[in-house]
Amino acid sequence: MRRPSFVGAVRAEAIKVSHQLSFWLMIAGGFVLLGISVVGINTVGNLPDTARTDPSGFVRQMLDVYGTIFQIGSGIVLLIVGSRLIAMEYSSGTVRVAYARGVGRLQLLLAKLVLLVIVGIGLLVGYLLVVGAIVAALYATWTGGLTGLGTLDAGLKQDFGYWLLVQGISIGVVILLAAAAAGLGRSLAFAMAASLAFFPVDNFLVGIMALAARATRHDSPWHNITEYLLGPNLNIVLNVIEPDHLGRAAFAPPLNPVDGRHALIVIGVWAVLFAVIAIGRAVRPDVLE
Amino acid sequence: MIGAQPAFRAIGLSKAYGKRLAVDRLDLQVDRGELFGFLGPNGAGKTTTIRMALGLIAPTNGTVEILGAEVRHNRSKVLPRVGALVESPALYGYLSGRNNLRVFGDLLGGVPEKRIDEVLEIISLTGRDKDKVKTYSMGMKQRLGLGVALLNNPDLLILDEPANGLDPAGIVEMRDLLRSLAAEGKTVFISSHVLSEVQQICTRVAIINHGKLIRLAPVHELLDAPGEFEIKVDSPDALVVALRLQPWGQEARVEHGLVITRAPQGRGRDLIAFLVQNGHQPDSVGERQRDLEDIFLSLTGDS
Repeated sequence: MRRPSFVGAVRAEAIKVSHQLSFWLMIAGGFVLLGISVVGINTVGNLPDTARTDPSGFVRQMLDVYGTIFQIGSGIVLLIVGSRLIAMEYSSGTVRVAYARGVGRLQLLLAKLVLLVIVGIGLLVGYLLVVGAIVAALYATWTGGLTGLGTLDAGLKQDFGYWLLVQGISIGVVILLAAAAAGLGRSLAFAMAASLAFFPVDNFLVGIMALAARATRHDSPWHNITEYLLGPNLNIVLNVIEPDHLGRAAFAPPLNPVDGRHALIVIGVWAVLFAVIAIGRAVRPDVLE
Repeated sequence: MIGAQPAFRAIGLSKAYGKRLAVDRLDLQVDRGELFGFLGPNGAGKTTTIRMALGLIAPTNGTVEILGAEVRHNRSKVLPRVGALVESPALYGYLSGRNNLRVFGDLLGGVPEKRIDEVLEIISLTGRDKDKVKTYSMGMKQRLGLGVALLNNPDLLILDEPANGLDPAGIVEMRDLLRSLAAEGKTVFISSHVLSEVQQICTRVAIINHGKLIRLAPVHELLDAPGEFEIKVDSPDALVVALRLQPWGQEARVEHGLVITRAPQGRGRDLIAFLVQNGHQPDSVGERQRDLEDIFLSLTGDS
């Protein structure tokens, strides 16, 4: 008699994701978005000059632009795929079929998280390949070849490492957010709404806090609150952990200056909170779905 | 001696939701190879009992043993040997029938494609296996749900309303399938409200109401119990009054112009003698054929 296995559970999740039409539509949408980004970059007047005179600066600017696009795009994809993967089990009642056959509750949740991490890594690798090709093509078009890229400064490798780290952190946090929202509502509609609304609300709160500070003529506690919001810390984390980072956060940073250690701790605490909610709801003794 | 252990055993099983007892100290044993019917009106506690048996909800008191092992602490060991269909079939509508079986097969540690083909054949979905489940009829979904339960050839099948949504031909197929599974030595535990089906396929039944076991007996024993007689007379109301004065006639009543009553010691000839002696010449007297539905309704007080 066969017994439930973790590898089997991950394989089952892979079948589910690979047959989600919405997943492939989002990937196709990503390609369209990248095409639009090329048109947009072509209209930035000083970029060809930067490419010719400062190849490293050009690559850093590309990392900033495409890093932001990836953070938003992969975040949306993972939140939707994650919500569907976890919350739909509750909505459709399939979770009881799995549990009733002896599949462990944590085992099932972990299989879903592992599959989402694999999807996240796959998105990142695929994105890097496509964006790498786009950047190389733009560079070659503007400078007449790729030879200039051989003179990139040594610090760029380290900066790329930070960039990868931040993308990894972002992937991990959105996966846990999707799992927490799915566990909390145990319904697809709630999970989608809650997880997709989280970051816009989080970023919007910075504006609200700024207005509150103006209205009360006191920065405290309004500015202090923004130091502990997840979105603003994710927006600023690359800037504060990477030495001499020149780019600005595309979205709202905390209203008080924070350092890299603070940003990483705040993000870590939020991640742990999401994980605790997801696990706590998954191991709940009674399954009534 | 593991083989001698009952397939299913509930010991003092209770489940309370607040002050309401959904299942109340239920003791039940199903032996291996039995086709067992679990009956009760809506809200009687059938599904709650099944959910506790499958480890989906925690009992307030008592335990469930399946195939000789207590379920709650042996889930991963015991439950893979159980195939279950709980309430409506839960499936992935955007996947095909075959991919649904693949997904649940992978969850069970991997089921060979050959077995998936076999199951599709058993549940008569071979020609529709590549269609999305959301295009299936209720009966097809029910059959696929049963297919999921059969995937890894379980020793015990727990089926909650397996005939739901099936057409008459599908019900006959389901009946034959369950019988053949029992003939292979598998235990089949069916919760159903289609009492005629249970009567036809089950060897023993338990009837619960308000969470309590009110009857546990072989089907033939229930059906062979002293039955009731239908009497056609000119003045049924007067006869009912006379019958209710007798210790064996307390339940006499009029239904559709006929008097329904038990007989002295269950014997028709004694009933006729009583009628004649008391001046109620009958136009006809006939033994009423009892079926499981009559017994169920009389036991659950819903008649």
